[in-house]
Amino acid sequence: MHSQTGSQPKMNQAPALGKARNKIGGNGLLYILAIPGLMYLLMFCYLPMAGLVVVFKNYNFMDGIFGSPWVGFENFRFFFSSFDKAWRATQNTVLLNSCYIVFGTAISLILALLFNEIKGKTFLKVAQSVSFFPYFISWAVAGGLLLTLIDYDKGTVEQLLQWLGFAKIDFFSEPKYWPVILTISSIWKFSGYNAIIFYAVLRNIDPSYYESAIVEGATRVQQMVRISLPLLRPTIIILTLLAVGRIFYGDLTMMLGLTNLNPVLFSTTDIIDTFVYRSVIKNGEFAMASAVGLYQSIFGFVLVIVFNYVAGRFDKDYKIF
Amino acid sequence: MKANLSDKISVAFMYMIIVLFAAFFIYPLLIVLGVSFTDEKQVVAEGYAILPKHFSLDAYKYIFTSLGDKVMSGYLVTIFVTVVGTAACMVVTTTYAYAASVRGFKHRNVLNVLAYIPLVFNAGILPWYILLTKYYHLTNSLFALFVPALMNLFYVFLLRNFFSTVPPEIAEAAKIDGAGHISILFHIYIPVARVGMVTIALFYALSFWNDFYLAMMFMTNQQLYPLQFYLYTVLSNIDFLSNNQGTAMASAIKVPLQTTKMALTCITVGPIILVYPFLQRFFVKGVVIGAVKG
Repeated sequence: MHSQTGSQPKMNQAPALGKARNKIGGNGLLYILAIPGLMYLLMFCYLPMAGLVVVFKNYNFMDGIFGSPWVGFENFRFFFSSFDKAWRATQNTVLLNSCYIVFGTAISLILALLFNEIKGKTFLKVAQSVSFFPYFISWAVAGGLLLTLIDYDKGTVEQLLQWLGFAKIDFFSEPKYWPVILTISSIWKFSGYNAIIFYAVLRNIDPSYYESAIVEGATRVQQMVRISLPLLRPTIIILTLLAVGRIFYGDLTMMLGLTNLNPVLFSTTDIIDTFVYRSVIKNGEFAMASAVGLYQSIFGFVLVIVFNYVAGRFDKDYKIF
Repeated sequence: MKANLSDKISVAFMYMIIVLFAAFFIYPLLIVLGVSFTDEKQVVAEGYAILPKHFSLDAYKYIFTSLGDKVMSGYLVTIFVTVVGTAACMVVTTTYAYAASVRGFKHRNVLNVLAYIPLVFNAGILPWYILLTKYYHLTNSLFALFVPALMNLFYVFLLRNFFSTVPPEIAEAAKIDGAGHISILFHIYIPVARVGMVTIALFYALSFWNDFYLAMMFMTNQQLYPLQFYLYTVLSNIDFLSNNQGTAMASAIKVPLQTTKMALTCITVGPIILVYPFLQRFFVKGVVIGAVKG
């Protein structure tokens, strides 16, 4: 690292002192360039970590983080006393994320494989654009779209159910359907995006594989299953590993947009993030929320580290850090 | 030849499946658009449908007459936050990523580690929320809508990786020619990382355009609601529009509740549809690069 300056050709007249000053001045500028980022990290990432002391305090808004009285592990006792709610939130988070990972990966894989087989350029472009488009839509808007589908009186799904001769379902008061609805919504929003990642990998596959397969008389489907899919395997494994690492983290805005935190649905839709949000912002149960938030962070931290390490072992390029 | 026939059948089948998928992706948008142009009475009587039997502009008329100022201020807040936020993010991200990428800079690893830790461990929303509201006083401040999201650490690392693909010899040569860090950054690194810069800027802009989380955390003043959050309050609060009825200029106007919600949704999506064909190319490129880079 240091050898660079040494290896530089000595400038004929430049006095060593001036050169040294120049170097300090140059690096000084680097510190200045980093300052906005450092300020951000300090104010919005590191100070909140220091603020975690609230976990051991009886927080009240008047006295603030540092003025509130210490209570030791009282908050954790409270946390375990309403353990059932926190446990339910944890289960929901893991279950929903698992559904997103499994079904989301499957659908985006299918899409990418199909994209790879289609030769019509215009058709392909339109199809990709259409499937990528939901990625651009906010969850607030997605909530509006969902309403048109499953509204009890007017929704398309309800009309379809009626037309098929089934009884209508009041989705907004039936928690049991929501894991499915949420998974479909997640697929709707993200599978086009993920398909493009897989598709990019497929485009880089050496065409001679397919050529020789065709010579051997392989059908399209056989080519997909025997060539494309195995070559996608590393990418699938790594993306899945990274997603599994984040399995304790939910998407709060997704839940807000789609379920509007409807209490009727909590048995299947209350995830850790919504649980903490409700406790903090709505109910002011700071103690409870801080304990749950801390436990999510610690478990999440461990998982991210472990799975990132595993993904890195698998393929160095996919190590995020 | 037999294989050829089966190939043709399977290809036709593939086209069909893609069309079905495309329908699944686009259908909700089409129906919202259709309903927004439908007469309220038809919607109430027959439910939502893509093609309006009784075409009507009532919903849009209602929005522009009665909700006009709110939609307008929502737009202004959103545009402001998207433009200013994206610009600020790019400055912070680029300068930090540059400092963290300069070879031979003694503390570059410190910068990397400092940006790496919050990526895996964060304090959760409680201390964050307390700090931002009680100590930084961000409640009802426009800063609250972009300052807490100034630096996406993933993008810092992405950009740093882009920067480190620049051969060190080029920067060295420029240095010998008397270029300082600023001109090296602007004339060498940024042009080389152009695709990455554009992609990251677009991702920042998109996240600001779509954000309603920060607004929900910090905004109580309706004047400062960004568009998405205004839409969210309308959709989530069934009485919101009907409460508004009293303030409508002519009380004779009956609020077309259902269709207005859909029209508002369309108005919120609108600009994205307009720029999407242009953006999509960049995004795809960026996603592909991101995928290759990790």
